Amino acid sequence: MIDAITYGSQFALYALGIALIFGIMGLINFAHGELLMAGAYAIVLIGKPPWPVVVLATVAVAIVFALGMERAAFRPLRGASPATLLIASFAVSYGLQNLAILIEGSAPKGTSVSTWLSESFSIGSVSVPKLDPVTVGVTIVLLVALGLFLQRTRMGVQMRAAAEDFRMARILGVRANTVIATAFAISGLLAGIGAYLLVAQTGEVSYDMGSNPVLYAFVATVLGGMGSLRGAVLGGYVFGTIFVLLQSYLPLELRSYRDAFAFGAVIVMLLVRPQGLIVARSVVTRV
Amino acid sequence: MSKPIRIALVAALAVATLLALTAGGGTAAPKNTFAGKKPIVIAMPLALTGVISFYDQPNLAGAQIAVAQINRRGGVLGRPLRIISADTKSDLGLIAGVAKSLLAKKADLMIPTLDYDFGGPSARAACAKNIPAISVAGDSRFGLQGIGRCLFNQFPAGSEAAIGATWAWSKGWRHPYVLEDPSISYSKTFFENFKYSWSKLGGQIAGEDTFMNSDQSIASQITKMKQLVDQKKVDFIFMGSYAPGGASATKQIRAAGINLPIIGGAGFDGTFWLGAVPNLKNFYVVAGGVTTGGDPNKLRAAVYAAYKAKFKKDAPLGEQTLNGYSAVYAFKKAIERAKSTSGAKVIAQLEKFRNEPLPIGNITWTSKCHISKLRSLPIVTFVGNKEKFVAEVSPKASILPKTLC
Amino acid sequence: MEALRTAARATWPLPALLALVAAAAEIAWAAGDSVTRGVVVVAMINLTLVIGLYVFVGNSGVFSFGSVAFASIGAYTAALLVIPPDQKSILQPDLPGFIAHSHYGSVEATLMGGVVAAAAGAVLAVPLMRLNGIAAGLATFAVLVIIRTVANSWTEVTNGAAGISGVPVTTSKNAALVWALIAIVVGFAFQSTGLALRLRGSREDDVAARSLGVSIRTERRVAWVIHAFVMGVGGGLYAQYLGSFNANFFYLALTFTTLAMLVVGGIKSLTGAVVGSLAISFIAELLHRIEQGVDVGPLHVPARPGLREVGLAIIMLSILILRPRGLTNGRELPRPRFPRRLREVVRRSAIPQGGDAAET
Repeated sequence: MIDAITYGSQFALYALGIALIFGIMGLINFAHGELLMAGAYAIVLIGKPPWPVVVLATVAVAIVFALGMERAAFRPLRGASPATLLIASFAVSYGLQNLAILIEGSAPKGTSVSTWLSESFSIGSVSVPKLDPVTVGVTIVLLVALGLFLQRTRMGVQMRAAAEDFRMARILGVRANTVIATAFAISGLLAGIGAYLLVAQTGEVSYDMGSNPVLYAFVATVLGGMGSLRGAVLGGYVFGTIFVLLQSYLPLELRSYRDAFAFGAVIVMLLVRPQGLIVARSVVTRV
Repeated sequence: MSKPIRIALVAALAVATLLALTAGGGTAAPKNTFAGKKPIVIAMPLALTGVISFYDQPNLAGAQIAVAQINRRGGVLGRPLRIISADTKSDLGLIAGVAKSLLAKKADLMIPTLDYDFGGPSARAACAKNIPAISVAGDSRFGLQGIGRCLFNQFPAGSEAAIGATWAWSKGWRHPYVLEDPSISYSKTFFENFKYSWSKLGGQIAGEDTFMNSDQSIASQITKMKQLVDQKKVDFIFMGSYAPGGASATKQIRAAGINLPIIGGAGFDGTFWLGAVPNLKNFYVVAGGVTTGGDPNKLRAAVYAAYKAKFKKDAPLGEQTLNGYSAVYAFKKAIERAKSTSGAKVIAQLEKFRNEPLPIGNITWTSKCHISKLRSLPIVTFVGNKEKFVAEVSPKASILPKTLC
Repeated sequence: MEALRTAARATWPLPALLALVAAAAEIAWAAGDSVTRGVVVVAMINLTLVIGLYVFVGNSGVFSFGSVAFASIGAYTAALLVIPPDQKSILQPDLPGFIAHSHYGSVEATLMGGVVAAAAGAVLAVPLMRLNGIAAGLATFAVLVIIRTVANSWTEVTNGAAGISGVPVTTSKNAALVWALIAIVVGFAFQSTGLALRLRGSREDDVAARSLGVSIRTERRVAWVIHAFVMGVGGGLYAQYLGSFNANFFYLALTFTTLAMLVVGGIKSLTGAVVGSLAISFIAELLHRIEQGVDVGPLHVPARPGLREVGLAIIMLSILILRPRGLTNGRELPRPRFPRRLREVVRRSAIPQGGDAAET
C-alpha cells in the first residue's frame, strides 16, 4: 500500500506544522494552509531557475509569511483564550485567501515543478511515481531532524519546555518571543517543503489550495494526540490510510460518500480514544 | 511611543497597505455620444471579485466590446447601448439585492453571471420585472422551466457530454474509462450524461471511478485504471471534472505513463491550467472556441481577436468570452425585430430564434424551451500552450439525456 | 422593592437587546437601497444562527465547528416542505412519497426545520457530549463534513450537488427580524435556567463543577439540542431567502462567519452574540460601500474591489487584539446608569443643608 504511506506522509507533514505551534501556544493555526499557498505561489512566480533555488524560494516565502503572521496577529494575542486565537487564525486565513484572489485572480494556475519528479518507475507490475518515495523520504528526514533539534539543541529544549509549561519556562528565563518565532519559522519551513511537494504532485496553484491540507492536518493532530509531534505524524498516517482504504474498497455507488465514512471513522476513534493515539500531557478530553 | 499613537500609526499603515493592495478600481460604463437619445440599458450584476470572478470578467469584457462596436455603427433603433454593472462579489446572499438595485436604474435588459447558482438570483429578479435576460449555464434549470420566461440560455445545457460522446464514437473509440468528480453539480451531471449518451449510442463502459476535486492524489484510482489499461481494455478516458483537481488528475495520469486520449468538458476550457502538464498531448476539450487564434468559425474568431486587440492577451476562456458578446448581439436582433424594447415583445422575438447565427453559435429558442440544446460545440486540443481546432460537433437528438426542456 | 430591582436588573438585557436589534434592522431598512435591504435580512438570519451557536458554545464552553450542519438540515427540511408538490415533481422527481406530497406554510416549515435539526442533534448528543475540549471540536467538525457529504450525494432527497431550487422566497425583513427576536428570547430564557447556570459553572471550572455533583453530560445535551433547533430554524430561514441553495452553502464559510461573529462579540454572553453579529454585518456592509468608491465631502475615494474581505479580516483581527474577550468582554448589556455627577446632585439635594453625607 504505497499509496497509503505516501498519502500519510503528506498528511503527517501538514500535521507537524500545526502540532508544533499548538504544543507551544495552544493555537490551532488555520492559517497554516495559507503558508502552503504563499509558498506555492512563489513557485509560480519565480520562473524556471534550477530546482534547489525554487525550493529555497518556496521555503523562504513560507517562513516570511509565518513570521509575519506571528508578529502581526498572534504575538499581540498571546495569552488570549483558545477561541480568540482560533478566530484570529481564521481571520488571517480568510484575509490571505482573498488577498490571493485580488492579486492573482480566482483561477488556478498550472505550473510544473520538475519533470523528473513527474515520472514514474516500475516495481514489478506496479508503477510508482518518483514523487512518492521522495515524499516519504523527505517526511522521515524532517521528522528525524525536528526530533534531533528538539532534543539536542538549546532552542529545541527551550521549545519543549515552553510546550510543557509556558509560564514556568518564562520564569526560568526562556525567551518567549524567540521561542515562538522560531516555532513559527519551523512551521513555515515545513509548509514550504509541503508546498513544493504538493505542487510537484498536483501541478496546480490556487487561492484555496491550503484549505484541505490544514483541515486534514487538524484531524491528524487531534487523532494523534494534541501537542505530541510523534502523535501528529502517526495521526497523519492513520488518517491517510483510512482515506486510501475507503477510496480503494468502497463499492462504487458509495464512493462519493467517501468523506462521510472517513469522518465517521474519525468520530469513532475519538470516542474510543479521545486523548489521541499518543498522549503528550494530561488533557481532559472526556466528561 | 505611547500606545494610542502606536495604534494610530499601525492603523494608518494598514489602511494605506489595504488601499494599495486593492488598487484597480471598478468598471466604468462606456460613455455614449448619442445626442439626446435615451440609452438602452443592459444590467450586468456580475461576480467581479471573489471565486467566480475568473468566469465573469471575460463575460463583461465581451459585452463591453460588443456594445462599443454596436454604438460605433449607430446603436440599436438609433439609441446607444449602455452597460451598468455591479459586483455581486460571488456572495450568494448579496446577489439578489445587487441585481435589484441595478434593475431599479431603469434597466431594459440583463446579462447575469453565467452559472445557475450565481446567476439564478439575478435572473429571478429580472423575471419578476419581465426584463429579458440572456446568459449561459450548463444546468438545464437555467431557463424557462427552472427560473422564468424572461431567461434565455445560450449553452446547450445537458448536451455537452453528448457532444463529447458523439465525437469519441466517430473516432472509432469504444471502451471509455470514466472518471467522476462529484464535488459540484456540473461535473457530476457531465459524467452521468456521458454514460447515458454513450449507452444510447450502443456503447459500454470499460470502467469507472470517482475522485474529489480537492484530492491531492488519485493514486488509488490510477492503480485501478492502469490495470485495465495494461490489459488493453481501455481506448480513451472521459473526465467529468474541472480545474484544478481535474488538471492535477490529468498530470498524474500522464505521469503514470497512461497516454490514452482524454476528453474533458468546459471545466478544462482555457489554457490557464496547462502549466501543470507541459506539452500535454492527446487531450480533447468540448470547449467554447479556439481562444489562442485559428478558430475556423469566423464569428468566434472575430470576438477573440477583438478581445486580444483590447486587452493585449488571449481571451482566458472560450465560452464565457463569447457569452457577453453574443448576448448583446442577440438583444440587438430581438429589439430590432420587435421594433421596441418592451420586455414582452423582446422575449417574444427571442422565442422565435431558429438556428439564428449568433457569435456564440446557432441558437434556437422556442416558446417551450429557452435552451439551445442542439447547438454545436467545438472540440479543441492543445499543442504546447496553444489551442488547436479539431472538429465542430452537434449532438444527435436521439442520445440527449432528459432535461427540463 | 429590592427583589423587584434585582429581577429588573436580571431581565433588563432582554428587552434592551430586542429593542437594539429591532431598531438596527428598521433603521438600516428604511435608510437603505435594495442591496442594504438584502444585507439586513441576511444579518438577521446570521444573528439567529449566532444565537444558536451561543446557546451551546457560550454556555458550555465547548467549541463546536459543526453547528452549521444543523442549519443545513433545517434548510433542506424546510425547503422540501414548503415547495409546492407540483414543482417538486418537476425538479425532483425521485423524492420519497411523503416528502413529495407534503406542502406546508412558511412558519410551519421553518419550525419543522428546527425540529428535525433538534432531533438530529439529540441523536448526535449521545456520542458527542461525552467528549471535551479539542476532541469535541474535531468531532463536531466531522459532523459538518458528514452532513455536507451526505447532502451532496443523496440525490433522491437533496437533489445532490445540484441543490434544491424553487423555494418560495418568504424570508422578508419582518419574518427574519421576528425569528431573530424569538431566538434572542429563547437564548435568554435558556441561559436563565438553573440548568444553564450549572453548565456555565462547568465552563469556568470543569473539575469543581463535577466535584459538586453536576453531571455535565445531561446539561450539555440539552444545550446542544436547543442550539440545534435554533440553528435549524436559521437554516430554514436561509433556504427561504436564497430560493435555491446546495450543501456547499452550509459549510466552511458560514461556519467561519458565525463563529467569528460570536467570538468577536464576546463568547460568554448573549449580548456578545448579538453585538458581534450586528457589528460584523455592519462593518462588512460599510466596507462594501467604501469598496465601490465613495465621496466623502470633497474627497473622492476610488473604487477598490476586494476591500470588503481583506478589510474585514484586518478589522476582526484588530478587534480581537484590542479586546481579546470580544467587544462585550463577555458581559451582558449593563444597566443604564445616570452619569455620576447627576447622581451626586440628586443625592445631595435629598440631604438637608449643612449635613455632611460621608460619601465613599
